Amino acid sequence: MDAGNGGPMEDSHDQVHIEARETLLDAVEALGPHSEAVILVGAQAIYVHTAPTDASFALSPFTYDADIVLDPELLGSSPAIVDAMSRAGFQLGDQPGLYRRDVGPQVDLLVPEAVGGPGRRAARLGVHGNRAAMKVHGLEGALVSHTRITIGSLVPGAGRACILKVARPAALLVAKVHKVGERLRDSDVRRRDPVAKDAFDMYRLLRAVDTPDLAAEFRRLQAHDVSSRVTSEALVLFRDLFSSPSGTGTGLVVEYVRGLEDTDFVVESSVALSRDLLEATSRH
Amino acid sequence: MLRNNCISETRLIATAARAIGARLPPRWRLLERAESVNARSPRDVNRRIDAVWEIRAPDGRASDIIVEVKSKPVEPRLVGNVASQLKAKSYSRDEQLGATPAFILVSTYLSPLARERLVEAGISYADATGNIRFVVNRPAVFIETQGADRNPVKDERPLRSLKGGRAARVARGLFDYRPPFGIRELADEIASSPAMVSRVASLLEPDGIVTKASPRGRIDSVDWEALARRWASDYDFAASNTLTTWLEPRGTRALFVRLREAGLQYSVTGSFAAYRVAPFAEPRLATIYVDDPETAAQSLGLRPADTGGNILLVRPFDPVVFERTESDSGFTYARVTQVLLDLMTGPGRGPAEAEALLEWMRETEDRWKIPMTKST
Repeated sequence: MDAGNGGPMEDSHDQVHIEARETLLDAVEALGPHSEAVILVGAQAIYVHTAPTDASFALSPFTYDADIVLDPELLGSSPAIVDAMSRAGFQLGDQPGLYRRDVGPQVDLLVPEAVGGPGRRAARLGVHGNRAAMKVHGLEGALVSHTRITIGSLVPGAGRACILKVARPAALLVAKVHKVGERLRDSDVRRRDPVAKDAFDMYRLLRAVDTPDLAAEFRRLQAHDVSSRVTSEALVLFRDLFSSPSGTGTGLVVEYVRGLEDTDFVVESSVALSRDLLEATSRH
Repeated sequence: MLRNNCISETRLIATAARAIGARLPPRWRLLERAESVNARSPRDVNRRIDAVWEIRAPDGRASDIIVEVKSKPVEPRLVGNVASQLKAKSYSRDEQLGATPAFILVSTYLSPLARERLVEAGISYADATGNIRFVVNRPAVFIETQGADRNPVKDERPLRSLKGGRAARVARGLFDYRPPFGIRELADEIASSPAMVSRVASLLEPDGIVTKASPRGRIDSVDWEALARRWASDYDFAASNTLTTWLEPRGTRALFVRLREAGLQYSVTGSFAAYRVAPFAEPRLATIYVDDPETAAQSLGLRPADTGGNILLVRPFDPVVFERTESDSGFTYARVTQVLLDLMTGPGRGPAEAEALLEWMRETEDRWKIPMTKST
């Protein structure tokens, strides 16, 4: 029943899920000597935090891309990132930082805007050039708030695993709020399409993490130079999008679960948890 | 009807006279007098005296006692009327006989308050449960005995439905236990009274839902599916119980984790309870019986919800929902028979879930029917 222990998801991975984890491990291995600079963010990081409670959902929450933040301060000079990725089969596309193999999910190497140097989209990474990673606004919290977690292969019987820095829930939430906000402002409607899934990822985090823990982490992000601004911006945006049943963010969550979950419940639940968080972060 | 009444009234008077006679001191006598008073003015009902007794002491002193009989319990508020009736009757009689009699009211049952009022009015009384107060001044005699403080025959009127907690409790008993069993045996098991079990059985007998070996015999068989349908026609999960809706924003799983640790008296019913044995669609609404929904919600950290609630806390129609529960993985579930009724009469996909559960119950009767512990 629903109240059972553990994460049933851990026992019944579908092929897509297994492949996504394999791609992530391949990318981390390819970055080898730079691994200290690697921080897992995005959907796969969210999954690490929410796996124990994801079984409550009727829909599979998993997505495929591996989103990796690189901390420029901890990045060594060799091997060159683009070359190392290429040797593992990951080829750069048109855009900086987005790598693909012939098959399987994409790997995004990202640098928080605050530490990404000048320029619009490409991170300036010295010897690694201006194409190795993409600059993204809102990921700054990952540099401040992360935890080391053993990430293992999901292939049955495989022993492959690595210890990886994984961004903590508040940092992931801040990043997602910015992503959702940006996509909603985007004039290119095609880029707005997948944003409901990002909103749902945020809701999963709110469901999985205790509000006081989340709020404490938010305060830590606000107290740190590199993440203070994006975090405060994120809270304002978050209030706009998620604190009422008619909020755009709430609507996106509902859009994502429609037909699979009880939407009335999801609205109430999402708003209640969002308000709890806003109230807890406003207390000092 | 009138005839039956007369017979039962005569019997009541005779029984009362015997009970009082047995408690008199040695050589005192209580006699029933064949008086002509009744016949004297037969058209004047108000003046008709039901019976006259004579109390006679060993020294020969005697007194008359005017007897008023009521075959139904006398309500306390009507004691005043009875008193004035008796006095009016004795007045017309006194005119003829020139004596001052004592009064007694004989009834099937007199409540403590009715008795109190009778004492105040100076009227003796005797009821069929053994409440007696018999006071005569000359010759002086005083008898007082204690009978029942509750009317034991209240349950004898026929039952018309299974509505109400006491009838439903018996219905659950008939549903839960494997027949045959005795009326008293079942009553003892389910903390009901033999009278109540009898009344429910009598309601169900004409439809063949319950069959008995003989009119006063044990219950031979119970058609439990027919019983469930019959009960469902008198039961409505949402109306018979008090429902309150709550939100646990982190989902039912989070609630269940806390429920296991909360130390509350509860039992899970509805979709989650059915899903345990007969999986239908993934359950969403957690439906839980608790004594006090408000207090339970507080200790479980739930918030009130008008829309979108995922938890129903239910104050039950009768504590029977907490009886004969089933434990599984640290949770307490209402008995499957209760769950079936709740789903059959419940909202949404409840009836469909009930069908799936019914199917399971047909195949596994041995697993959920409880054998009687005592054999009679």
